[in-house]
Amino acid sequence: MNVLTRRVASSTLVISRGWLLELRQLMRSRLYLVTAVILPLVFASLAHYMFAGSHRTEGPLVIALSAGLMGMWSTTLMGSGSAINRLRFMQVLEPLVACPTSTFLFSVPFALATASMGIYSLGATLVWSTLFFGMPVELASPLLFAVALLVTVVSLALLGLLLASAFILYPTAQSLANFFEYPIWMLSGVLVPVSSLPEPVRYLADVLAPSWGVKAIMRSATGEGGTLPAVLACSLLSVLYALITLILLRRFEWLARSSGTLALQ
Amino acid sequence: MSDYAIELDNLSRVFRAGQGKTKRAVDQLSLRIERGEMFGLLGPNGAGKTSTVKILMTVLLPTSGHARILGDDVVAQVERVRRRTGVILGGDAGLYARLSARDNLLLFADLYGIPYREQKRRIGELLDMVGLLKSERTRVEAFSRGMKQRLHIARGLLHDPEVVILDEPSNGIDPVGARELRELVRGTVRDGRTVLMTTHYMFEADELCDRVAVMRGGRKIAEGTPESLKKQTDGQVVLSLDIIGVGEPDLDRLRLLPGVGSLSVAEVDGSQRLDLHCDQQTDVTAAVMAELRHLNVLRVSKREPTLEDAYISLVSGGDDA
Repeated sequence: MNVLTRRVASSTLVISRGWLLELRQLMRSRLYLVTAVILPLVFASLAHYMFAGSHRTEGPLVIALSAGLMGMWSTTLMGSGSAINRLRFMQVLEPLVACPTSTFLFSVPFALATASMGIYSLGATLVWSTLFFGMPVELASPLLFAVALLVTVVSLALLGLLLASAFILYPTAQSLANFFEYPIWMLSGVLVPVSSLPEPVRYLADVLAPSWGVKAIMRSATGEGGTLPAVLACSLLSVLYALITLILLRRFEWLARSSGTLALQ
Repeated sequence: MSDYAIELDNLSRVFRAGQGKTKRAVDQLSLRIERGEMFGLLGPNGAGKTSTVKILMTVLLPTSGHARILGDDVVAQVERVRRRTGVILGGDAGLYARLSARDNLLLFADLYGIPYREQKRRIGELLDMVGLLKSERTRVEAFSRGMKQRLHIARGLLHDPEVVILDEPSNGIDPVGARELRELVRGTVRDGRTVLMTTHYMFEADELCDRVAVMRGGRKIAEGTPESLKKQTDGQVVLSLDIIGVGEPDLDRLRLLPGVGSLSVAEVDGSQRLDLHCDQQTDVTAAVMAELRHLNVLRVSKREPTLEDAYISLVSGGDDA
C-alpha cells in the first residue's frame, strides 16, 4: 500500500469512528434530542396546514420532503456551529488542535453526525405526514432516493462545516448560524421553487450543493428524470466545499493560535 | 540533534487587552531544560505560566522569540512537535464528558495516529496505570475531579511522547488524590521522559522537580534547584502572627519597618495568618506588635523559612534575575 492509500484509509477510519462517537455524544444530550425530535414534526405540521390553505399545487410528498429538508438543514447548521463552541466550552478544542492530525479530521465527524441526525428529521417528517396528513408513501425510485439522500446529507454536513469553520477563530460566530438558516432554505428550493427567485439569485442556488441534493431527492421521489446528474452536481460541489474548508480551517487555526481565541475566553 | 529537550529564547507573547492597550503575558523568557529532567515552572496567577505552556503545546503563537522542543521549532515544525509532546492539562474540563474513559482515549488515539492493532493494548495499559480500568465504561461526567485528572494523564501519554507538559496537575484535588498523582508524575520521569510542570504548590515542586524557575509578570525572576532557591532566604526568619482584622493600611506600615522584607496574608480558620519575612539580625517583634496594638493578635511565633517562603519572597518583591 503506498503512502497516499494508507493516509486515505487511516483518515476514513478516523472519520468513521469520530462520527460514531459524536453520534453517541449527541444521543446522550437530552436538550439536543428533544429539539431534533420535535422540530421536524413542527415544520411538517406547519407546512401541511399552510399548503392546505393556499392555492399552490404541490403534492403532499413534495411538501413533506421540503419540510424534512428544512429540518435537516437547521439540525446540521446549528449542530456544526454549536459543536465547535461546545468543544471550546468543554475546553477540548485546544487538546484537539494540539493533535498532529489536521483540524479537518476532527471537525468532519461532528458535522457528519449532526447531518445524520438530519436523516431522522426527514424520516420523521415522512412518517408524521403519512400518519396525520394522509400522505401516500410512494417513492418512484427508492434506491435513487437513498443515494440522493446520502449525498445530500454529506453536502449539508460539508456546507455546515464550511460556514462553521469561522467558529474556530471567532467564539461569537454562532450568531451567524441564524443568519444562514433562511437563505439556504430559500436557495435550496425547499420553501419556494428556485424558478420563482430573481435571476441573479438563481445562479447562487446553482453553486449550493444542497440545492442539487434537494432536486435529486425530489426527482427520485416523484419519478421526474435527471436524478443522477443532480446527484453528480451535488457530489462535485461537496468535494469543492471540502477542499475550501480544508484551506479555511488551516488558515483559521493559524489565526486562532495567533489571536489566542482557541481557549474559552 | 539538540542537547536540550526544551529551549526557550527570549520568548514573548503579547495580547490585545482592548482600547488599544496590550498585555505582555510572557516577557523575554529564556530557559534550557535537559533531556530526562523534571522541571517546575512556578508563579502566581497571571505570571505567564499557562501562556508559556500553550506556546509549547502549539495552540498559541509567540509574538517574538523562539521555542524548540527536541530541536523542533513550535511554529515552523508544528506536526513534529505535536507528535513528540504530550500535554496534560489540569482541571475539571478538557474531556468529552458524555463519553466513557475508553471512548475518550479511543478518539484521541485515532487523532494521534496510533495504529488500530496497538490501540487496545496501549489504552488498557494506561487505564491500568492510572487506576481507571474498572471505570473504563463509565461516562466521564460521573468521574470525580481526581479521576478526571488521571484520565488527562492517560490521554497525555497515549502516544508515548518524549516530552510531557503538565499544567497544574494537582490543582483542586484532595491531598490523598494529589499524592497519588505525584506518584504517577514521578513514574513518567522514571520512564526517561522530560517533564515540564507548572504548579502553585511549592512542596510539590520541592518533592518532584530537579530544577525550578519562578515567573512573575511574564518574566523569569529566579531559576535553580529547589535547594538553591531555599538558600535565597538564608539569613532570614519568618515572624508568623494569627490576627483578626488586619487591613491594607496596617500592612503598608509594616512594610516600612526596618528589617521587614516581604509579607503575605492568608485566611486560616476565621482569622488571618500574617507571615513577615524578616532579617535574622533585626528583631522586629516589638515594632510589629506596636504597629498592630489596635488589633486582636491571637498568636505570635518565629520559624525557619521554607521553599514556600522563598517563593513568596520572590514573587512579592525581590529583584528580577
